[in-house]
Amino acid sequence: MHLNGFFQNAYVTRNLQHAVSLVSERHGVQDWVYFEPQMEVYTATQGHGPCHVKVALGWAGPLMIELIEPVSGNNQHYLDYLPKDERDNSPRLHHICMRVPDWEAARAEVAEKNWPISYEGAVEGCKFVYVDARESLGHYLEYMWVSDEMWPAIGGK
Amino acid sequence: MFLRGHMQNAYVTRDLDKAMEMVANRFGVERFDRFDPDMVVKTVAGDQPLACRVASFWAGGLNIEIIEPVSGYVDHYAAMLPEDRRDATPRFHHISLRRDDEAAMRAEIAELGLPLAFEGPVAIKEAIPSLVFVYLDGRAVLGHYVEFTWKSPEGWKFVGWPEGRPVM
Repeated sequence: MHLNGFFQNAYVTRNLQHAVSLVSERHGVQDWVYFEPQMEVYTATQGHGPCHVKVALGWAGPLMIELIEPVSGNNQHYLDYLPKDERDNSPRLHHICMRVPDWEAARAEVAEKNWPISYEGAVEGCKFVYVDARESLGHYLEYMWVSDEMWPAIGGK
Repeated sequence: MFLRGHMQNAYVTRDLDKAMEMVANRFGVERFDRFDPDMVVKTVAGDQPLACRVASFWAGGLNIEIIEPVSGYVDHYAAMLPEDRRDATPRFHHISLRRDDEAAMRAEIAELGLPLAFEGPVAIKEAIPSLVFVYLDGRAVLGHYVEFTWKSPEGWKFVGWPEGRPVM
């Protein structure tokens, strides 16, 4: 599994609209898909609990750019990657994401290989797990299953 | 669309051998492509020497590159290294975007308007196929650098472009 199925570079920001404007104006990414999930999640540092984030998804060819503004709840893993300067709203790379075709098999592989899980949750049509790869690549890895119905809804082709 | 053609995520490290070991152990990489370019690059301060050690591998259609800056004009690499000098963990440095028309690439870079970090190679000791890389400082927009690269067909073969991998 590892890095096969890569399709996304994901960034955190202190201000989603500012980050979207930066990336749109400079790099020409358009047609953002916005959503604001409030989920029950698991995180390694804060356990089970709520998590509220604002998200924007944009595409550059086959590469998805995800911008995430942590809002509240169990989101320390996001906060740790924000710039030290609280006035700095520019994005910071947080994780890369691989789409997996079979969630059960992928999740079983994560467990079997004993990869450290940092964050796990689900929304309708999507299940995801963040694996901690900070010791090998300096950031997290996300493995995501997206239903065939949800994929085009987030701009996938 | 300035971000089209994404083909690589690249990292910097203080110790390439340790970084390769970390990544190989974690991701089961059996073979890295190794290259130690010793070259001259074009910068806003004129032509400058730059030496680094590079390892790369392909994960499906994604190329992962790890760079250890060695000497010369390496501040743009060093800027993204961890503060702890004993820490060999790779740190994200840039994305690389493939272009197949050098003139169009240069026009696109001019339109994009990001500050030049460096470009090259003006000269390089190793015998390699024709290629051009341009590093732009995109830290204010994406938090990292952005590389545009044009290569001859032989150049893409040299870097192991996966057969059938589309350019998008």
